[in-house]
Amino acid sequence: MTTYTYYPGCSLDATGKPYGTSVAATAPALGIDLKEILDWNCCGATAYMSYDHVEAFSIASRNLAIAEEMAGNGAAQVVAPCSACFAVLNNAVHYMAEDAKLLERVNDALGAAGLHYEGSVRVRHLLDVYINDVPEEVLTSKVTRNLEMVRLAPYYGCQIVRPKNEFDHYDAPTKFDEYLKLLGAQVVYYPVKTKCCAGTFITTQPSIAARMIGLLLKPAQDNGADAIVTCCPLCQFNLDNFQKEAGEYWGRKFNIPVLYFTQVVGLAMGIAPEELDLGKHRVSADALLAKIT
Amino acid sequence: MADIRIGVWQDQPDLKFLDEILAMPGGEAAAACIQCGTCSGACPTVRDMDSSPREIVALVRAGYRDRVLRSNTIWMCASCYACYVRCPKEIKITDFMYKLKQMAMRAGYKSPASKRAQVLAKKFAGNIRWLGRSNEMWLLVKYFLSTNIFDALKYAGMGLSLLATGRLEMLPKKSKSASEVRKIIARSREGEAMRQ
Repeated sequence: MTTYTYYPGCSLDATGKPYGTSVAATAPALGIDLKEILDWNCCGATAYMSYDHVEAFSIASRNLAIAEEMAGNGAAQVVAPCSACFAVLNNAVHYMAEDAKLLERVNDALGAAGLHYEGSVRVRHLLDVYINDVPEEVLTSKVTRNLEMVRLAPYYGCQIVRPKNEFDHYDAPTKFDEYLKLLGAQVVYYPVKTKCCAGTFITTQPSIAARMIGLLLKPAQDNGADAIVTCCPLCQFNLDNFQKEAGEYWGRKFNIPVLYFTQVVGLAMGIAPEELDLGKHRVSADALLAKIT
Repeated sequence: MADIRIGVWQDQPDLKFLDEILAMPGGEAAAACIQCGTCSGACPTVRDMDSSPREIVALVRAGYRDRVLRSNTIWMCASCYACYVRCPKEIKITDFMYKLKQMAMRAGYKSPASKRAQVLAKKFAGNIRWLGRSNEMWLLVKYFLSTNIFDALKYAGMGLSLLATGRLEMLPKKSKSASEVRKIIARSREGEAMRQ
């Protein structure tokens, strides 16, 4: 068991509930022990950055400071399942490491809550932990179901590989592809794997969002994917819930399930679909489930 | 440093605009840019923008304060960082856009495109001060009340599906972090006010 400081983020309590459920169902069996940051707060996401950057980094850093306290003297590893949380926290860590003045301002603000950030945190995405920290033989020993008839499109999204990440190439990553193959599934050609899912535009610019989301659904449909697999609650939400609008924009009909990678891991491990909240998505994954033997 | 206020002339250039931008952390972009247009080529929303990201930098240099801060460009940036990672001069373009958003919001610039993004940013920040965390349900309620309540109807199907599967948090749950977050924000604002 390796213990990590866990930052679940706000979505996992609400729209991203199936992500949280499937993390809880798979992580312990793979030797991943996630210890939640005590009374964590919202990372601020992209919206707070438009508002004020010192404030935004200060509230994000509250979580980092608590993570350091929880880790004791050792350097803390903070793991985030949401790509937006990951990017915000990771940016905060890197920018404060580069800019002593910013770190000082943030620490001045944190002082109001009796907190201090030393600068020792390493932020990682949950997908990175699943892929790189679980020995291959441990993973393959847990895989009990056959996914060879299942065709998947690995959708990395933008924030997990950008801007400063140690995980994979910013434009043409392959690790998620390889991971899905290791689970026994087929991977389809998916050239839009790091294109933007439209983020908050589904609220503020719905017609542009419909166009952008369609651009992600089209290659999956054309290349015969049974599902798109994501590692971010916002990507999952947009791709799953905007298929009608995207179809209207592009003159097509889309009906592609959008799963979390942890749900695919769970299915490969033989966990029942309902224990992975698979029935809670907008587009049904029943056709895909029928292909698993 | 070479004078970068070259190439464009307008009736009343606001040369202070460039100095203000250069003085902000992240504002160096305005000086380092070689106008290659890689950012515009990488941008997934460039076709929706009044001016491309490359043009925005050129306009900043030429002192077009109003045109830049009034443009929908800065609000059409979805923060995907595609430009940022490809820029040959390693300019943090996404952060540059954040700076311009902050500047436009403080100076009170409004346009149809910016209004909705500004409302969302403000409501989101308000949500965090209130609860310590983001509550998607209440964020959207407040957003639609402040923009166009009838737009909310377009999301009815989505809302019902979320409700039926227990993915909407109806009751705002206050995190214990809320009071600390408010203290941190208050101290941060005091600090900024003192510095100015």
